[in-house]
Amino acid sequence: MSADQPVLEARNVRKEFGDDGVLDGVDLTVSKNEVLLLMGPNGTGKTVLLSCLAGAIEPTDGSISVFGTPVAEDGGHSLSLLLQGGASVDTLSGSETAAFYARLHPEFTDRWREYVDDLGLAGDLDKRTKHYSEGMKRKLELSLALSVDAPLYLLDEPTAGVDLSMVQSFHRVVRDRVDDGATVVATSHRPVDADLADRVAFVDGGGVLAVDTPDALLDGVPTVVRVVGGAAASDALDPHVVSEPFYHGDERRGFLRADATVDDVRAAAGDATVETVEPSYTDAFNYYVHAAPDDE
Amino acid sequence: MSIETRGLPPVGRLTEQTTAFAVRTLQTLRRNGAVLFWAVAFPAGFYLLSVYLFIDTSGMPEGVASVVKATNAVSYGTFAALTVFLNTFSQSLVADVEDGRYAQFRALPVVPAADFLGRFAAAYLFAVAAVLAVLGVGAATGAEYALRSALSVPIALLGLLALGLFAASVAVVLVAAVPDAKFASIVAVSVVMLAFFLTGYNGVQPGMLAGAADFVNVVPNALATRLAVHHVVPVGDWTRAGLAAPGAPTGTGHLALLAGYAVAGLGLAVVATRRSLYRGEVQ
Repeated sequence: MSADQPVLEARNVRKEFGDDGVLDGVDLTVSKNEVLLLMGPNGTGKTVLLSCLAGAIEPTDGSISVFGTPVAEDGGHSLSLLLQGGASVDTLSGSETAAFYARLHPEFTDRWREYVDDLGLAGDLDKRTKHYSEGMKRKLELSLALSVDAPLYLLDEPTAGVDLSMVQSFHRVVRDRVDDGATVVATSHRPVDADLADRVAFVDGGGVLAVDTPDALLDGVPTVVRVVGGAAASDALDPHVVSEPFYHGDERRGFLRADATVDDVRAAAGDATVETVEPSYTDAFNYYVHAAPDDE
Repeated sequence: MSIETRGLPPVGRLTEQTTAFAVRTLQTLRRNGAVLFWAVAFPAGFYLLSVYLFIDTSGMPEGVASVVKATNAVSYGTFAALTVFLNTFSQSLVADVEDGRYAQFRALPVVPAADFLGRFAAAYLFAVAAVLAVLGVGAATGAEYALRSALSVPIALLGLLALGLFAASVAVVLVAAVPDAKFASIVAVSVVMLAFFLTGYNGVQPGMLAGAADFVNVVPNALATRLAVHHVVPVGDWTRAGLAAPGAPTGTGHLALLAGYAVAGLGLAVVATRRSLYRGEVQ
């Protein structure tokens, strides 16, 4: 494989289930040794896209190659996939599940024992997985997926159901594989997972809306105005922000239009407190997924 | 990091993956109370109802009653095996389809044949245990067994193997073909019941069939049952025992037919597993 060759390349990938189109012309290129995070709202086909990239689902149209080989011909040798709930069988224990996958994949290593220890699951391996919480299942599934000695890992919402105190531990074990030279593509709708990413791609069923480094994406977000309190209706703010304000807890946040000023928003907001703030990953998510398409 | 497969050669991988599916299937089966009920308790209970309520053995000479009970035990043993090969097997597939595990398997370098062979090996062991359980209940109620020769047990087991491969292939096709996978199990149960009744209780009561009953020496469930009866039950006169006509399936043609069922079943199952479960999109 040449240094410039993409690890994974998807071109015009479409996927339909019957009359329902889930993906409509997705293009994606993943470079060696990067972590690419696919972020998007629920139900927009992130899991379907990841399954297509892994060869688990055949696209209706388009092409996908891993290391220059069509993914269907690769036969799962170059990658390891984590699908939520895809590995666990309720009636098996964690250890039995690991033994099953150890026999299935010729590149499976004993690394999973280290990972379940790091993630605090080692003491629960003899329990049947039907007694696991969602977070515990993710711990097991991530440990098993990363135990395969593959150059490419495709992880479907690896931190879903995981409490915030454990997220950094999850990121650490993923980083462990990246430090060994692997490439990671993960889906998420949790802004905290952006900490893990070298690049973030915001996606919806129509394709990739924006893809860049986290800093570049944050730089691309217009000035964020934060509106706290006040009785003014959100409609009053609409002329001055891109699309419409987004609720963030009790406060409203909006993206200032190029032709508007903060004073315009203050005037429209009445007695509310209005200030500008640095954009967060949540703001970036809302901007690229919901607001920016309306701005075009 | 190398991407070359540093693991086992293809045959070794097939063996490892077959073992993986077999072990996992046995683990899940033995922990499933519903499976144990339908595959063991239900056929055994059905047998007891037959020999105590449906068939009047009280007026029969002792030697005849013990043979009738043994013949029925073999029949219900086959019923138990067929339940395992069709219903339990399809349930195991449906669970993996409905829980999305086939999407996971398709992204792994799994040899589809290993998937089928592993599940089948587990189902076969489970079916043998179910048959032995029903035969044991039969023995406890006075059924008499006798081996015709040293080859009787291997032949009966091979008959069960052939029936199993054929029935399991039907289960795979059902799961692949029925639009909503969970209904495949219902269809599978229906097939078991139809096969049992339409062949005169797996071929041991051809006299109850309205037309010519020669087909009981042809269709796989009845043929395997009658072959087993010939080898493990001291029937003596098949006509007096109600097992004829036709006579016992003792010709090499009958064995060849069973071998044909086994080969066709294995081929169909492997092709259906590869094309439908590993390349299709059974969701």
